[in-house]
Amino acid sequence: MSMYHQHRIKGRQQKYDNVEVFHIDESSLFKDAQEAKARDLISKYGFKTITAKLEDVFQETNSDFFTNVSIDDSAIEHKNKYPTSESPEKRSNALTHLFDQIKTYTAKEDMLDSIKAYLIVHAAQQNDCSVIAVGDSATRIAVKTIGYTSQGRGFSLPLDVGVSNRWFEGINIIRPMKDMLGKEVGYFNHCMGIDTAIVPTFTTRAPQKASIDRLTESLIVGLDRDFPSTISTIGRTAGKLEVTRKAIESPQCPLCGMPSEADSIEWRKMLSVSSLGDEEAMQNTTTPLIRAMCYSCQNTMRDVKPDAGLLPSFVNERSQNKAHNSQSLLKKQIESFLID
Amino acid sequence: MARKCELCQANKAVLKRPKTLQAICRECFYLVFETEIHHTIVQSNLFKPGMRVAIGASGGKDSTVLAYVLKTLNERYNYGVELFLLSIDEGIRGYRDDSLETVKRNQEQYQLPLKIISYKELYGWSMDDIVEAVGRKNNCTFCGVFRRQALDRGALMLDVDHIVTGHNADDIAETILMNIMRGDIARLQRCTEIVTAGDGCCKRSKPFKYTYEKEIVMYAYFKKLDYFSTECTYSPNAYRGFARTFLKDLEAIRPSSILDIIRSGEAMQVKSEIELPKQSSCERCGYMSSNRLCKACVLLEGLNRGVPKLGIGKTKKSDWDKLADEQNSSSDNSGAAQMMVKFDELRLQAQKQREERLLLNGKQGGSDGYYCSGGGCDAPQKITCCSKNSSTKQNCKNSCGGTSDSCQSDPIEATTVVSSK
Repeated sequence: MSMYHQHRIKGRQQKYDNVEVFHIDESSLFKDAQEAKARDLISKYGFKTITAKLEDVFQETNSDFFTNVSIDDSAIEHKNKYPTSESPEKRSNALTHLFDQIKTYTAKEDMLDSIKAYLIVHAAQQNDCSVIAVGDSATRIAVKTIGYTSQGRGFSLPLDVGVSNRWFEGINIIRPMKDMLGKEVGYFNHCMGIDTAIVPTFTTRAPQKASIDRLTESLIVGLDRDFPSTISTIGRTAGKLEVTRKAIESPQCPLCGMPSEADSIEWRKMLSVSSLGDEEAMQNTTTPLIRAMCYSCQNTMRDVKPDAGLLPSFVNERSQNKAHNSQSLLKKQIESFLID
Repeated sequence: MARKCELCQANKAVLKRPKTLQAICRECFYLVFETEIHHTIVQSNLFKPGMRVAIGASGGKDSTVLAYVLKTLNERYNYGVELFLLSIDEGIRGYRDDSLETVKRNQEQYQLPLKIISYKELYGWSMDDIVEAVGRKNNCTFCGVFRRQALDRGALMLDVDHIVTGHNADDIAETILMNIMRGDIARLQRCTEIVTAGDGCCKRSKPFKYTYEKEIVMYAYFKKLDYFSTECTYSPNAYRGFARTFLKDLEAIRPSSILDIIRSGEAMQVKSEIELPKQSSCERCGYMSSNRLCKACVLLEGLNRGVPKLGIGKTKKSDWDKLADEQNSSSDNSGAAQMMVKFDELRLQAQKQREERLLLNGKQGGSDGYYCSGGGCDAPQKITCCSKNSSTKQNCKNSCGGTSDSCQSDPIEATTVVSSK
């Protein structure tokens, strides 16, 4: 809803030479998505529109259409479950299969966010966009701040909710609507006669305790009714958090793409002892892929049935590319002087 | 057929562990529960051999389990610390008097020395008196501010190096959320620290930082520990209510949530250009304070003058300063200001106690480590054998042979020799 609304504002400011609208078609996961209406609305703004489908993450233009990433050893046998053909139907099956294997709504929402985040950044890189404007309102940022904190995402939180996020090389993700309440955006659209499409999620019309995000949302909205400054206070608190040096220098989490702390697994094991075996035996049960993930995505993966076996190919690619920012940037600077 | 324990695969599983949802047996529960606390203590270097450690004991479940577990772990892993129980008597009839009875029984059961200090003797007011004067409002503000200082005073009276409190993971996660929601940046930074500097050469820590409240209850229940479980008569505390409810709901959705929030809180760093309040000491009582007068002194002044609103809510900082100036100008310092013993005096007393103890230990062969108790030294844990401001001198067994200030050896290795002044 907010995406194109925001492009209007940006168009008015004339700050950018060229504005492109990026839209993700989520209809293969959500049957009641108003996809046609959304496309129709976007086309009205007259910007160049790029569209991607969620299942596109199961297709790579280079070589492999599917990449099997084993969550644990038992998953290897599922390697060839999906033929590496490119038919749209198969891709969409791979997508729904992945989400069917996730046990909780919290983890489903998290996985969806990761996939969308990848698609957005990917699209920007493909189309030479240096700025990505997202439509997070103050309400959304407050919900994200509390929700992400509750999921152990504190390490990357300043990037996730900050007004400007330069974590991805050559791209600045901005949140121009960070000071507008969700309600204000709604009023604005109403007054200006702007029509919007409903973008459903897994917990749309679900009870409040369906997922962490849903629970957080009802807390924030409820609190803001009684204490009207709640949302802006949370936003201000989040704004005062710093992206730590440690975070900037950390490798990228293969799933969400954000910085990933090194000691997550050890920390968890030390403070929630869940096995009596010796340390080394426990280490072996974690695959390098899980080890490379950030603390919060490790939480998500705990909710994936171990035989899921099929993650989008970008996850594997990212895990190969260990040094996210620092190393690759450094290398680029001296590239011309290197003799292979 | 009965379910087998997921950990040892031998005994019958009797409980579902709240933190991991694993079905485990009683013995395995004790083991993982205690081991996690041991990890926390070792990882954060909470204790050093020879330390004197006071357990802030209220008689409630957290501190009762803390006392029991610390005693157990101290014996099992040879921390070599000396444990004490320190209780604060707020003076709340029907609540604290009963819970103090529990603490007294714990003293017997665990064979730990106990010290009780009351608000009445420290401040001249019990909580019952305060409530009578101010009504049922802001009671917890008075109680919280007074308790913090009372614990530090008690620590000096006992001359301990360290106070441990029973704050559990739920409390800390809740505080992190609260601080984000009310924008308290300074506290957000501080609330995740496991060790915080107290006043008077004494640090505080929370060994239960990663321990779930539900598991503490479970531990107390299975171990049949004697604890007191009644809500404080004056504690509606609606302010924290929604955060607590939210936390419980979160825990139901994902059991690791409480730990996850602490993990997040620990990773958060406040931008360096944002100024955090500086710490100095109160002009009146010498307690650490970020203003000229500490909050306890302002509250007490309000009570004594019959204007209990003083210092509550958004009172102007200038009003506090005015108070401080008044104090300085009235030369004779008559009235309420005299009621509180100054911290410097307490520190002196603590030092004296320490020296006496050393004397005694010296005569007995002195296996006890020697710590500095003077105000000049701010890190008792690191101290090997310095003896600033002290009449005792120490000889090091290891290599340096003579002077105490320069010696870097392990305190346990050093013998204490008393020199006449």
